[in-house]
Amino acid sequence: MTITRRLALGAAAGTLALPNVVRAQAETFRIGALNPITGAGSPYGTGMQRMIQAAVEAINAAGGVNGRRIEVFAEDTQTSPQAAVLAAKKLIEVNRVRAILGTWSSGVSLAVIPLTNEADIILMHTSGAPALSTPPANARNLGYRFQATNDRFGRAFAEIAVREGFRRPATMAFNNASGIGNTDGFRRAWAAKGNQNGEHVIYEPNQPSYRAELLRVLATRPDVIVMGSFLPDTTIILREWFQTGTPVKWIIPGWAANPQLVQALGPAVTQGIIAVESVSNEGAQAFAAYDAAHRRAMNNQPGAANAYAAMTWDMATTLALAIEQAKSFETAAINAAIRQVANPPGDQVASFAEGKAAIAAGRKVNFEGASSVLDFDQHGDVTPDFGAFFIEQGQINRRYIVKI
Amino acid sequence: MPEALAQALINGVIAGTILAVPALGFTAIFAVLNYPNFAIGALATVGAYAGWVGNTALGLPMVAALALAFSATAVAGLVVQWAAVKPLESAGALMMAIASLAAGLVLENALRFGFGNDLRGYDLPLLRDWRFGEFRVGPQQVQNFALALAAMGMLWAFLRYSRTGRAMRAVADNRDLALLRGVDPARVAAVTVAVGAGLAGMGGMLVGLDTSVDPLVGTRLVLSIFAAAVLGGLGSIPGAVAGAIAIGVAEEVAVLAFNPAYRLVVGFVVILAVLTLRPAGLFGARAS
Repeated sequence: MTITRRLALGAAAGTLALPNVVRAQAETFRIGALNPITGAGSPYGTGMQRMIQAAVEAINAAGGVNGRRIEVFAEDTQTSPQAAVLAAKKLIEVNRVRAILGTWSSGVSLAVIPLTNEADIILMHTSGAPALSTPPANARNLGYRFQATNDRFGRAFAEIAVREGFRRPATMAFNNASGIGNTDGFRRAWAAKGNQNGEHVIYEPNQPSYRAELLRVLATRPDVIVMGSFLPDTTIILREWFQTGTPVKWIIPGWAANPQLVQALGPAVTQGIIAVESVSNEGAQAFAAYDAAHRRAMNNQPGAANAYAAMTWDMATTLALAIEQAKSFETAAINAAIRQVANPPGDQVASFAEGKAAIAAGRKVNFEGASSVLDFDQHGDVTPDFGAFFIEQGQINRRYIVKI
Repeated sequence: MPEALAQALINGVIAGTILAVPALGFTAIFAVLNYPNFAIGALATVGAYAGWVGNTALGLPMVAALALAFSATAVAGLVVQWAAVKPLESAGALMMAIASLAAGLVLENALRFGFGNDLRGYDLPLLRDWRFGEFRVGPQQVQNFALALAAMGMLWAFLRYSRTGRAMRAVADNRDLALLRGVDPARVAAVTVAVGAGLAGMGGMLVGLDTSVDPLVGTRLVLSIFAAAVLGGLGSIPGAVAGAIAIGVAEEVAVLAFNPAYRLVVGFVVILAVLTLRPAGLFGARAS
């Protein structure tokens, strides 16, 4: 049988004649999963996307939100703002999603948030740039950050520098909002502790060599260099530093000092580097559920291996609870409900099903997530804990947790 | 400060000498075919990957890997020339330049598709710098410097003594006269593109040796290569070498004087200044 236009029209008219209940079941609440499947974020992106899908499966299994199933449309940002904008436009204009979840890297989130603001939908992201907290980026308060700000990362760097007994820190930052946010946060926190800041170099991305910048910093004889950097530039800088043979320690964000860095440079160069990454809320009940889902979806990899996947798991759950709380599918109502379901006071809940039951019973809930306790401040930012990881013989080992 | 300046000069001369290799390729193609081949960056990336495959997968020593980088990029350069540039020859130099730019993007993304975005390192031990008092220089830097000099020496001998090299110089000097003397223009063009692209590939591999290989390794060089060629005088072989060394030194010294974030400005300022004050460049004869 061939499908003619007349037949298709007839079928479409036929669905209109069906009882309301059937149509209501077919109608879904659409969300976009916009993750870095390729590019610099690719070590994290697949896990992030699968955890949105896994959380949505759990939500739909618990009866969906306000009687509707959630439907996920997934796109790849390629960790590139240009590609992310095209993908976001497609999600908004073609798929008609009502929220976008899981953008990674500040450049991408800063490029996407004007589109979500314009479309009057919520953006939940994992990026660090302080600019994402305030107008113009977050002028409509529709942006929610599930990761620490770069400024808070900088504060964690300062805590670790004090704890490790460093005295003369220098800073090097990649010239973008995230890199400079990290080092500025560090320098402010370091000065606030009554210390003197050292040499500060902001470098341009995409250079074949950073020898000149590095020698300028090393000439001031620092005992530690604190970085606001990414993987490609960090690789070149550390290689050139090792060649100089100058003894100095490094504090580097975890998205740059990761297993790929160790693989590229080997254990001798990376020995003793301190990597700082936000850590998931590992003692929590929600984390256990997330960890089980992550192992199922990701070939038995533990959930702790990808802090960003825990964030996207929490995004889907938080959004669903807020819809349930709002008893509406309107953005304004959902947005008003997010802090109601995530922040204290209220019954601590660890899953959508548990929260849905409590909301139905008329109780106020406080979702404690897998990524953090998930209490949003007035800017839509959370404060996760940080892990200090030391690279030893090519292994990245967590030594302690820093709370700020 | 004087030590820092001397160190910057050392690093600048080494970086400039390595930059001279792809700049020679760029200027040679310009001299004979009369268009700027902006695929040069992507071709350098092809060379970096070819050398990396030769070194890590096939276990070739450096010189053999460099020869492989040259040959693979020569082939890639010919493909770009025949598939993208030649069909637009009649439309003028600007169209050919745009075609080469587009072909470069295709090449870069083909590499991205095949090798991914990850950084690749050559199978080389990381060596500590040699120190001479306050100065330092890396063994890898010195090796690359020597390889770059050797490549330039071979190019010079090829242009000076071989029949094909003489034909290339003849076409660059006076195309019509060369044709009258029976030089086959298609053959000279093909050899020039192959040699020019091959030099770009060698340059890409030399830079990759010192840093790492990723799909942007050559693209990062394009502005510096172009600035070097313009400074030396487009189409001038000695000019490309002098221009590249000057750009290398200027980029290193600039970091001492200014915020490193403005290092990229060096290339643009040089291009602007040369085009304003002396459009023919340092060694360029034609425009003067």
